[in-house]
Amino acid sequence: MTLRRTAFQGVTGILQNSWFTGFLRGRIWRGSSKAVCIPGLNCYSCPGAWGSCPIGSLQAVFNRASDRISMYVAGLIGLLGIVLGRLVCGWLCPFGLIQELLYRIRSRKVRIGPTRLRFLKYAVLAVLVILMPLLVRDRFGVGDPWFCKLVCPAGTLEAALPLLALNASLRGAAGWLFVWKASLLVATLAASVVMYRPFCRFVCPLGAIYGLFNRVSFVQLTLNEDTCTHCGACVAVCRMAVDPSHDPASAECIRCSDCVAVCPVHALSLGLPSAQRKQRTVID
Amino acid sequence: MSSRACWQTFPPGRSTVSTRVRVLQVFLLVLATLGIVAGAMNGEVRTVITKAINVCLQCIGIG
Repeated sequence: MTLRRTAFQGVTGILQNSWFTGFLRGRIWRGSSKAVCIPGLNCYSCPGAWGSCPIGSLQAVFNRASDRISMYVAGLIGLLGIVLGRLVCGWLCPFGLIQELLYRIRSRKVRIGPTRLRFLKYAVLAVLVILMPLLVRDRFGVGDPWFCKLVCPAGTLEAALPLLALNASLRGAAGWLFVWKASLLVATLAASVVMYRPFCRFVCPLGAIYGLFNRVSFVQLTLNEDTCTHCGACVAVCRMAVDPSHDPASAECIRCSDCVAVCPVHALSLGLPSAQRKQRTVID
Repeated sequence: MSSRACWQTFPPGRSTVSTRVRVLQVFLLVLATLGIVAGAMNGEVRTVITKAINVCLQCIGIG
């Protein structure tokens, strides 16, 4: 299951960033497909990106002097959230894949259980993605995308590094802000080697939004309580520190389905609940 | 046989939850769709595409 998911993540990640001309010429795609947000955290200034980053787009509308509410982008994110929840994080986010691949490097691993640090991503969402872009403006009434500007390591990796490598003029303009963002990127990537998806668990505002939909999304991780023996196999395999036998709809669950694969009594299933009922009937 | 999923047990202890959550799902789906349409009519698509087709200097640590 893990390899199948990795392959799926790889294919979707490449498809989302497959304007290869951009990587050769140091430019970004300027077509109409950029009007649509892609599901995961993927910088729209990545030279290969066909679509827009949902978090960047959300801030762009907040930044507009004439508007205060972003209905279009919020609607797109909400639509994905209500259908898939954090399945997007586990299956469709290129930056999540990068962190997972780094975690496969042989090294000592640090396993952090449920911690209050998980709430940091909600603070990042509230302060850097919503409040500051709405409230902090220049004399022309225009704001900044503060999360992108101060934090986003995906933007540094996917956009800054290739664009600065290919454009001398951009390279010349890079200053302390780039150094700060590059430092955050290095810290994130280094942490990813020893810890599973640290950015997703503690920082990502998009994961925070999708997590809020986990309890009501159409796609669900479902537990059959009659079958579950509470053996703890699912808890042991979950690297997001979720206990699927207690709370299968946890906001931290990225629906990677590792717990489904490891359950010895097939008490867990992932999918649309109506389809799952049929499946259980067959098993029973 | 009893099975548990969030859409059946949230909030816990209520027998009518499944229907309520299904209503909530449909409500949120409609709300999201209406948001997309309303935002598009409000010119947000132009804002998004204008931002996206130009190199985001903030994203690359210059702006």
